[in-house]
Amino acid sequence: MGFDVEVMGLAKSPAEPSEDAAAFDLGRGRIALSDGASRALGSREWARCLVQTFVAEPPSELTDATVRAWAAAAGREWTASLEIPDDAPPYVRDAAARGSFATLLGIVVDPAPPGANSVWWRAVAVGDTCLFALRDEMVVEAFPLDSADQFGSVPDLVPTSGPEWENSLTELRTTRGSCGPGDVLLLMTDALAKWALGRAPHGGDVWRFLSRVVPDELENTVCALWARGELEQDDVTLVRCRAAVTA
Amino acid sequence: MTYQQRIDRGRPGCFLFLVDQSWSMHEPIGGSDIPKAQVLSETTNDVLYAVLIECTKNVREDPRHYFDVGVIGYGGPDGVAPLVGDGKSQGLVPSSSLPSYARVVTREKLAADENGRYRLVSRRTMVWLDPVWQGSTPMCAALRQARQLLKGWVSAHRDSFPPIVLHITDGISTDGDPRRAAAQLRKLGTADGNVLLFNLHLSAQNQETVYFPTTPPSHSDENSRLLFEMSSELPMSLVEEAGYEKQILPGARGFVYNADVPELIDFMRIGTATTGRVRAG
Repeated sequence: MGFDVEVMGLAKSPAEPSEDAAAFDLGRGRIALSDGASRALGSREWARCLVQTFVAEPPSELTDATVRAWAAAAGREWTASLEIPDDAPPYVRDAAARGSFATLLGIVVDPAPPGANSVWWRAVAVGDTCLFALRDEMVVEAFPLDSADQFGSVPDLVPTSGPEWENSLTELRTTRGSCGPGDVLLLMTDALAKWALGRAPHGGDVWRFLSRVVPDELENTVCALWARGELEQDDVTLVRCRAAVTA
Repeated sequence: MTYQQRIDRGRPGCFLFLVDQSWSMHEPIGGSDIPKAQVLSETTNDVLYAVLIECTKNVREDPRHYFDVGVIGYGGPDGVAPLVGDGKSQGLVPSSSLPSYARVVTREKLAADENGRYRLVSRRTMVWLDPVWQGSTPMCAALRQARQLLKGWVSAHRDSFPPIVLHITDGISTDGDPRRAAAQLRKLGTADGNVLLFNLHLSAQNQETVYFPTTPPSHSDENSRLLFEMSSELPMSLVEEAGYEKQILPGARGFVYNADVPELIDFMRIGTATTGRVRAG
C-alpha cells in the first residue's frame, strides 16, 4: 500500500505569496499542512519550517508533551534563522521576540506489512487546518472540525515560542484511522474546509469534486466562489492523498 | 452581517484616539500619585507600539499599511489638534509611517525572565505622545473634528471594517452637550457597519467603576449617563477576539466610567482587537 499525493491551491492575492505550506515524504509515510497566521512576523517561513520539520522528523509520539517539545525545538530553529539587522528598530526586535504562529496538521502512516491491503494512519492537529478521510467519496472522518460553524476568527496556533504555548490554552487534537485501496485523505486549509463542510449537507457532490478536481479547475472554482462571496478570500491549499496498492 | 470584515492592505482598518488634555488631567489617577495625563500618554504610546508590531511582517521591511491611525488631543495648548503626523497627513497616519513620527526611548520595566523571576530590564520603545494638561474640555469640537477626519476616510474605504474611535476623558464637556456631535460621528460608516465610538472616563478617586454596562448607570451622575448614551454597542466579535466574552455581556456599550489603569488597558485592548483581523496582502 502506498499513496499518490497531489498539492494544489492558490494565494489569496497575486501580490502576496501564500502563507500555507505543505510537505510530504511518501517513502516514510509523512504528510503535513500548515497555515501561517497572517498577522505575525515571518508566518510563511514558520508554516514551512513546521511542515518540513514534521516530514523530516515528526514528534516521536503524538502526545501533548512530545508535540509541544517538538514544536519548541522547531521554534528555536525558526528564531535562529531570522537574521535581524544590527540597526533594526525596537518594534522589529519586539515583533521577533513575540514570534510567529501557524496551524499544524500532520499525518504519519504506519508501515504496512508486505501484501497488506490497508494501512493505519495517525494525525495530529492544532487549529483549523482539516483532514477529511473519504471512502467511496463519502466522509468517514472529519478532523479536527466537522461542521462549518466551528470555524472562528481566532483558531488555535502553534507559536514559535515554547513558553507561550505552555501558558496558552491551545488544544492539541489527535485521531487515527485506516485506509484501503482507493480511499482518499483530503487535507485542506480553513477557507476551503469551511466551504466544503458548509456545502456537504446539501449533497455529497462537494467530496466527489474535491476527490477529482485538477489544479486549473480548482483555481477557476475558487476564483468564481470568491467573486460570488461564497468562499472567504484566504489562501487555499488542498493536499489529496489517494491510497493505492504498490507493486 | 456587520463588523465582519478582515483587514489587509487593500482594506485597511482605522483607529482614532480622542485624548482629553485639559487642566484636570494633572490630577493623579485612582488615588495614586501618577497624573492621569501620564497614564494616558503611556498607555496610548503602548497601544500605538503594539499596532506597529502587528504590522511588522518581515525583519527587513517597513511595517505594513494595515491601519490608518490618528490621535486628536483636545484642551492642551492648541485647543483641538492632531498629535501624530504632520500637515500632509491631515490627522490620519498609515501604520507604515508611524515610526517616522516617534522618538525611540529606553525605559526600565519589570519583566519575567525564563525562570519566571521578575527583574528590572531596560528596553527600547517608541513615544508619540507626551503628557499634557492645559485649558478647558472642548469635547464637542473634538468630536466634530473626528467626524470631519473620518468622513473622507469612510468614503475612500467602503469595503473596510469601520473606524474605531477611542475617546478618553476625565471630565465634562465645556463647549456644550456632546451627544449630538457623537451621534453624527456614529452615523458615518462603511459597508461593514457604522463608526464605533467608545468612551472611557478616568477617575481621580477610587470610586465604583461602571464597566461596559448594558443599561444606563443607575446612579444620578449626569455625566456618566451622557457618556453611556454617546457610546456604540460593542460588537461581540470584537469582545471575543479580545478574549473578554466572560466579562462582557452581549449588548454592552463600549463605555467605562471611573476607570483606573486596569480598566483603561482593557478598554484599549478591546478597542484595538481588530489587529487580530489582519490578513496579509
